[in-house]
Formats: sequence, C-alpha cells, structure tokens
Amino acid sequence: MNNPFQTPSEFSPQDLSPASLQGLPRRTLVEFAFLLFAIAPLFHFGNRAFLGTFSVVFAAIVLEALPFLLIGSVVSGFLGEVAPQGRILRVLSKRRLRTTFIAAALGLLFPLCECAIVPIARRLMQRGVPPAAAIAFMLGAPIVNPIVFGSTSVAYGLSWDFAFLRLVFGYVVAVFVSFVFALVFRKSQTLLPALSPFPVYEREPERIQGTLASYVAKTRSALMHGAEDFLDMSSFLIMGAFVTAMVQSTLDRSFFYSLAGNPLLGIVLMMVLAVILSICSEADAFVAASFQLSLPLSAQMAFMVLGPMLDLKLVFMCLGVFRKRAVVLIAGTTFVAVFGLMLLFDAYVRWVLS
Amino acid sequence: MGSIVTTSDCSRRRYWVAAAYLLWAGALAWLLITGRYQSFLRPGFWALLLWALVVFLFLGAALIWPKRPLHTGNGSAALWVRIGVLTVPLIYMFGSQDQPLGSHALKNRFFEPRYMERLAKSSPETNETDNPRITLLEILQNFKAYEGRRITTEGMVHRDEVVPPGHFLVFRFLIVCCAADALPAGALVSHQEVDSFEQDSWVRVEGVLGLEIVGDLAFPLIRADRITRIDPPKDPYLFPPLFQR
Repeated sequence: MNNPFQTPSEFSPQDLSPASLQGLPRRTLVEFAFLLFAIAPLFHFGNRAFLGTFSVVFAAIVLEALPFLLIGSVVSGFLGEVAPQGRILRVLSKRRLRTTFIAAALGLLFPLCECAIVPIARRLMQRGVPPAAAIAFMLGAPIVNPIVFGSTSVAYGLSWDFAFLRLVFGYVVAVFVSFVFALVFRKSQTLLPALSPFPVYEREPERIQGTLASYVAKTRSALMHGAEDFLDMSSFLIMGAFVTAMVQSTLDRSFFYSLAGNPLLGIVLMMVLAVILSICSEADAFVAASFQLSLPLSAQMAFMVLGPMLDLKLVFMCLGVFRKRAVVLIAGTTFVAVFGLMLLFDAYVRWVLS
Repeated sequence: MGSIVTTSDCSRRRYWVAAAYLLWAGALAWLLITGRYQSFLRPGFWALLLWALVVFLFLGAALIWPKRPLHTGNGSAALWVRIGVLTVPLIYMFGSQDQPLGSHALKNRFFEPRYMERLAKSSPETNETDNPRITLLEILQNFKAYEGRRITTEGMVHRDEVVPPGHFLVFRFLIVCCAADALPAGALVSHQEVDSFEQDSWVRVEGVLGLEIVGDLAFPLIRADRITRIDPPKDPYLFPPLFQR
C-alpha cells in the first residue's frame, strides 16, 4: 500500500534507478513493470496486425471508461469536501444489525468505484465502524451507486430494469458476505496490526461560511480531491484495460459460443474472467454487454456483480488491510454467493421465457 | 505520524500532474475536432468525451492554482511512474494511426451465430429502388427484402481457410458502444477476379443477393458483377441504434 506521508523530493533521474526502486511499495513496482511491458511492443515490428487490433481496443476501452472514472473522481471530491462525514460515522459506528444494511447502500451517497473503496473502508474501521459494516460498504458501494447504474443502463441500451437488477444483486451479496464475516471473525482477528494513518492535509485559512470566497475555496479543494482520486485510480483502469485488450486480441471468441448453451459453465467462465480482467465497475458493463449475444444474461450479470467485489487488484489491496484468513473468507464467500445467486437468476429467466 | 507534505516540496510535482491532465485534454480536443474518436467510439459518445475534456481542464487548473499539497504515494518516483501509466493509452491511441479493426480482429471474433439467425427471421420490407446502396447491417436486418435483388454495398475484404475458393468475405464491424464490443457483419462475394483484391482493402460490391451455407452458418452471398476499390470511408464502423434491441 502507498504511504502518503513520506516527504517528497523533486524529481531526478536517480528516482527511477534500480536502487531507488527497491524502497518503493509493491503497487509502484507493479506499475513500473507494467510501464516497461506496455511500451516494449512499440519498439519492435512483430505482428503489426495484432498491434493494430490491440491498440484500437485498448484505446477504446480507456476512452469509454475515462469519463465515468472522472465523474466518480469529481463527485467523490465534492462529497469528501461537503458530506456530513461525522454524522455518517456516528450512524455506522453503532453496532446494530441495521448498520450493515445501511453500509451496503452507502454507495448511493458515495459513488466510488472499487479502487477507491478499500482505503475508505480502512479509514471507517479506524474510526470505529465494525469490520462487517465496512466490508458491506466495500463490497456494495462499487455496484450500488448511481454512476454504475447509469453506465450499466447505457451499455445495455438504456435498459434501466437490468441496471436496477444489478444493484439489487450487488446489495444482497454485500450484506450476505458481511453477515458471514461477522459470524466467523472478531475485529482483532481480521485487521493487520499496523494500519497506516489517514493523510493529513495542510489546512487552508478558515473563511467565513456562505461567502463567495468560501465556496470558491471548497470547490478548489473538491477538485484537488478529485484530481488525487483520479490519478490514484486511473492506473488500475489502464492496466485493466490493457489486460482486457490483450485477451480480446488473442482469445478466440468461438470458445465462448460452445459454452453458451450451458448456463453453469457460462456463469463460472464469466466469473473467472471478471476476477482476471479487473475492470473498473464504472466501465465493466460495456465489456459484459459485448457478450450479450454469446452468453446468457445470468453469465453477463455474474461478470458485473462479481467483478467490482472480487478481482485481482482488489485482492492485492485487501491484503494490505486484512489478514490473509479474512481475505480468503471474503473472496470465497463472495464467489460462492454470486454463483448461487446467478444460478437462481438463470432459472428465473428460463422460467419467464418458457 | 509522518511528516506533512509542504507547499514548497511538491509544487513542481503538482505541475507535472497538471501537465498530464492538460495533455489528455488536448488529446480529447484533437479527437473531437478531427472526428477521429469514431475510430474507437460510436458517434453519439462525443458528449462523454467533451465532459472528460472539461473535467481534465478543471482538474489541471485546480492543480496549478491552489497552494495545497498533493498526496500521490511515496515520493516522486511513484508519481512519475503513475504519470507514465496515464500516458500509455495516448501512445497507443496515436500509434493506431486511424487504422480501424480489420481481418485480425475478425478472426478473433468471427460471426455471432444468433446474428445469422436473424437472416431467416428478418421481415420483408418493400423497397422498390433499383440497385439500392445498402449497408451490411441493413442486409442483416432486412435480408428478405433484398433477397434475389441487385444491391450495392461496401466493406473490407477478408480471405481465410474457411472462406470457399472463388469467394471473399466483405465485412464491417458493428459497434454498440466502443471498439471493444465490435461484432462483424458480412457477406460472401463470388466473382471471377476475387483474388485480385488484397486483404483488408475497401471495396464496393454490386451484384445479386442470395444465401449460402458455410459450415453451420448461413451467410448472405452477393454474386457480384462489379467490384470497385474505394478509399476507406470516414466512418469505418456501422452503429446499430441504441434504442432498438
């Protein structure tokens, strides 16, 4: 995980030398490795046809997802600046059953994708929110939020009912997994012993509330938050898009057609794809929609429900917050819950169509 | 507690992040002004890109303007790596040189069997125009109306081991949202001189529309009497209406 507290220095060529890289967090090393890997194909003249297809698909996914990621970043910036955080924390800190139900739906107020959720969930736990509620928020918010609702609707040709169904499934799974988590673990058994403190900002001078200057200052601060969020999240999006484009440019889709008639295989396949591809929840509906003529709705829905809750980048992020046993429980329970729910959904769709 | 990042420490770092955002804003403006974004997205999505452009400008301005610090990981190396990652899509975007998806993408995707099923189900519509110029999408959507009639259509040339000898496939990609969801629409073309047309070249085909079975799939077949090489069109893809599902 990043440590935002180290004092920065001005850039010099030594910053990217092998010696200095040894002290970097794992994420930066992964990003650096990706950077080398991503640029390397541009320096050889191998399969130009592959490179052409890959370039178009990669750029297309990024261009399509970027506006939604920017919406998420800007909204989160404004929410971070103006939301009554104290009140929300007070509500969530009460150890009642309803806390979990509220937390799983908090994405409606904090429309963030999964990349931004893990550090926020960590902060919530630091502030006294029960881990089960924080996990409900972590799993639910990337799906149960208006931006994901909007992007899913657009991807499926303004199909509002399908988008709404996705939100319902996401909410149900988030609540279920957090209940299982609460039954198995106590707080001391779940978190890593050393949690990084949350960033401290250099405060600006207080201004009189309600004046133009105070509004300008708040807007400026919100945009700063948005700029930081975007820079933080965009690398996950770009790496996910890169892997997706790589898979799309190499994988023969006729393989998927052979599974189209078998809902069980189709669901499992799309769940595995969701974990591997690690696409942002604000853009994954567009990828799922590309399978709408090949695979049943249940398989597409499995992709969209599991992906924002459990993918490779999320697992790595969770390992920086929770103990390994807790991560295994969250991942395993989420996978099983989504699979079971999608089997029921598939049976319902077939019953309706028959 | 760690040390607090001060204004003087990170002012230049903020400017570099702002420069990356403004670079993106410039790239989006260029895509919108030249219309080249349609190599990646459907035409109606210009509004999303315009939104992104405006936000990038605001974020860039916010980073240049204020005196507050920027938290971006531990140190400038992490920042530079992240800025580098942010520029990777731009490199590929401009590296693609306006080249649309072609035969390579076609091989990976191939034809959706259910699209082909539409051929048999499409309802006949009256179109009395002689030799109508229609798209491959219109052939798929309304095959019965044109079956047995002389038509003109345009697309790219594809030839592989599946395509029968003496034929090539004329195809274009259908895009719902972006090139990632592209699916091909195509028709077989039979003509005496099919071998003289290069893979991925653009052609205009005129001939009589029929049906041919290749493997398990039913393909439209154009018995061509005239094939002309043409320049790539401004919009290489076909866009099915979003509201018609």
